[in-house]
Amino acid sequence: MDREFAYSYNDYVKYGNGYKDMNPISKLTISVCLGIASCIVHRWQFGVALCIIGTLAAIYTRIFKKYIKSLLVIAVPLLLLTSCIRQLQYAHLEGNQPIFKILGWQWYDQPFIASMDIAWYIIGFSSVLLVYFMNTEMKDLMLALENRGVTHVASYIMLSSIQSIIDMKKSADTILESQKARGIETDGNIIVRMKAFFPTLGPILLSAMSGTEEKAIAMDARAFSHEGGHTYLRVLRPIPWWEYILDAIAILVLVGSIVYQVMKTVGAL
Amino acid sequence: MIEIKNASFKYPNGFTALENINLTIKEGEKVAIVGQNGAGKTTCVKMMNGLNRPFEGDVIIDGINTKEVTVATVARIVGYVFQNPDEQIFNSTARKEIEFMPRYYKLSEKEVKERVDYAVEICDIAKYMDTNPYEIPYPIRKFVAIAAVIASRPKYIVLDEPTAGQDLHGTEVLGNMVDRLTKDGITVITITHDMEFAVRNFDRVIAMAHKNIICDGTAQDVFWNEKVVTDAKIKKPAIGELAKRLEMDGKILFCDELVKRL
Amino acid sequence: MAFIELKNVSYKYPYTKDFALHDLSCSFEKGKFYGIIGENGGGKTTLCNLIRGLIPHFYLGKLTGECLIEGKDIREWDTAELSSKIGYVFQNPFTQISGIKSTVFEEVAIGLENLGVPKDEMIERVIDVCNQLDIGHLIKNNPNELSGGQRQRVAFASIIAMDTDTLVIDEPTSQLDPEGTENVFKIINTLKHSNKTIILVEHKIDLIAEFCDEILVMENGTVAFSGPAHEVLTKRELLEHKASIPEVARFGLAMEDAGKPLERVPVTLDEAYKLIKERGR
Repeated sequence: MDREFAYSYNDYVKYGNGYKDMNPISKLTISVCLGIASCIVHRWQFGVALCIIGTLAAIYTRIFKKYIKSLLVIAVPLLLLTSCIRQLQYAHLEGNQPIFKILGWQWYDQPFIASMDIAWYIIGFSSVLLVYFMNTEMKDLMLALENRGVTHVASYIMLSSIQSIIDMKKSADTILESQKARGIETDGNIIVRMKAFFPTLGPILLSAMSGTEEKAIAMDARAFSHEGGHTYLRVLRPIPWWEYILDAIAILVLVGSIVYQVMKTVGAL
Repeated sequence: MIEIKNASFKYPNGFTALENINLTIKEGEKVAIVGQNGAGKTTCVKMMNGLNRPFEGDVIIDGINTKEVTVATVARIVGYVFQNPDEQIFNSTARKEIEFMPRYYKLSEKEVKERVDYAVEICDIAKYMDTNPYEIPYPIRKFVAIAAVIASRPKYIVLDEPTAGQDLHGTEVLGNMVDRLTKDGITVITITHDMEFAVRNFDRVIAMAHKNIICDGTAQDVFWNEKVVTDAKIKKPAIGELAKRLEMDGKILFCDELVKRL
Repeated sequence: MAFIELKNVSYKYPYTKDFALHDLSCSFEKGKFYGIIGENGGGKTTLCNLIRGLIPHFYLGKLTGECLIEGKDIREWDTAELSSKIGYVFQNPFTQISGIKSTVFEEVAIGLENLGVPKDEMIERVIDVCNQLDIGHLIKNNPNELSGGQRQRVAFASIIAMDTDTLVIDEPTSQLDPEGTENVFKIINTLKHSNKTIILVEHKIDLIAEFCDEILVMENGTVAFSGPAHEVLTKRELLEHKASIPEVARFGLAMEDAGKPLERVPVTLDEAYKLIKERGR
């Protein structure tokens, strides 16, 4: 047995990376506050800045490749779509200055900036959330929530649902295979495939459901409903002072963005 | 005839599960396949109905190469019953489940009824016909899955671990099923971990180990070959083990043989 | 006094016509190893559910008669309290993994977390159990990606870690291959030497013959036979009651029929071998 591994549970949960080791709730607070601020400010400059922060965090946590793939999937269609739509929508806006032509299609400055504002505030928000979810284990988040008073029942439901989705995907493959094995045609045109696919839904759901009762019994045998003191094998690091400061800054940015927006709306800016 | 010729099989992840297998099963044979998990038993039988297509070599079923037709086509000839019935059953009652394939083949009501009755009788599940399969006890649910495949009338039927979880009665029903199906012209091939079952009900026993067939012959050939027993990690039936400890010759595996000799 | 005592217990699951248990009386003493055999549908699992308190607390339905655990009626027990007294392992290896832990080590600790065992003690106990059950090499693995046999061993470990006095084990090997089965047998063997009360439901009769002190044969929701293992397993009537007897006991009975009986009917291979050797061929 790897005793070193066993005794590593004596320590706090540790990943050896500044970002990953932050408390899941503080990280979430920061990400969400900045993200919402980005929505409220609604300026491409803010979105780009947020995206740069997210990207730096992705590089720091060594998930850049995975992160950039997902981000591009969001960003590229979004940029193309919003800019085209805005160009069509605001083509005749007063004071439009032409900027360039694509295949004879004249683009103007105001709609272009408007589209960048929309696209980038979403990209900025997505960027920080992607980094957050790619770096944060669900079980750590639930643990942090349990420390704040969420019951272990709620936490169990959340975590086991995630696992059961993974399991369902696995069983879907086997069930489709068994349909083939019985002589149901699954290769061919879309109608043949659909015909083969629908019967598989039943067993997937049923097997997921029939498992719940046994799972409840198994958890009961593990003293799940025992009252009076629950201890944890995995314990999160106590939140250091600087995490509170980062949280506070994020909240200030959010408040600031609200103030900025309100003042702009009433015409003070 | 099922012919597996120099067949090798690799999973998409590159794992080789079978290496250069050769196997011929003639109509009317009763074949049991034994061996430890990971030896390639399931991979091998899944080649027989086209679910697994060999990476190298060929599998020919009654003259049809499984590589050239869809799985469903082969499955009409070779029926395969999964080890876990829950991966197979999808109808709301046992009856609907068993009727499903005959109806899929658009048979007449009379034919559907004939086939269903036949399957139900063999599997001894008459009293569960209108029950939701998920309310039927697991060992009996396995019989519902078997009945559903019997009702589709394949020429060959492959059972994957039918004995797992069965009690004495269930094992008896299975034993009788093997005889009855064989008598009615359906060739039975089964994977089993129940060695007593293999010895009692099958003429031909195939032991698999290390991605290959290591012994193919009678129960005596397999269970009285110490190397095969060790390599396939199978357990010699109790009577055989007793006869071996008593240093008796004659490759005894059955109770009455041993009684006669003592 | 018997640790578990059932008197005239009848039970019917909700929405069913037939009684799953029918006027059942039996008792279990501390520290003994009990085997429960009999045909499927005979009430073996229902009996386990009752002793574990799942009946009447989890499965409603109609329960009559008395079921006493340590002298206290099952209806008055709190299931959470009972779970720290009676451990329960059942057949399906896939539903006994919590699905919320990402290493085997954490999975084994789950019951201890729920019981509120201090962390340093928890770690020591998990290490001990993993060593005892020979799953030390698996502690870093994801329990959701293990084979059936490995999962079943992990399920045993989670329950054994809780160190209950009694263990109810319902067909632990019925869904496992021979290797997985053998590993579970090894675990049961270590349990036999632990002074725990064990109630094992199992079809593999050779296992029952080897380990059990006492045997109950269940049929139609009640106990058809019970008594010391050797006595029950050599009963001729068992053959007619759809309960299997060990292959060597069958052989012993056949020898009697052939007019050349051994000194007694054997139930294990070793015993059969000795009896034949002693008698001479």
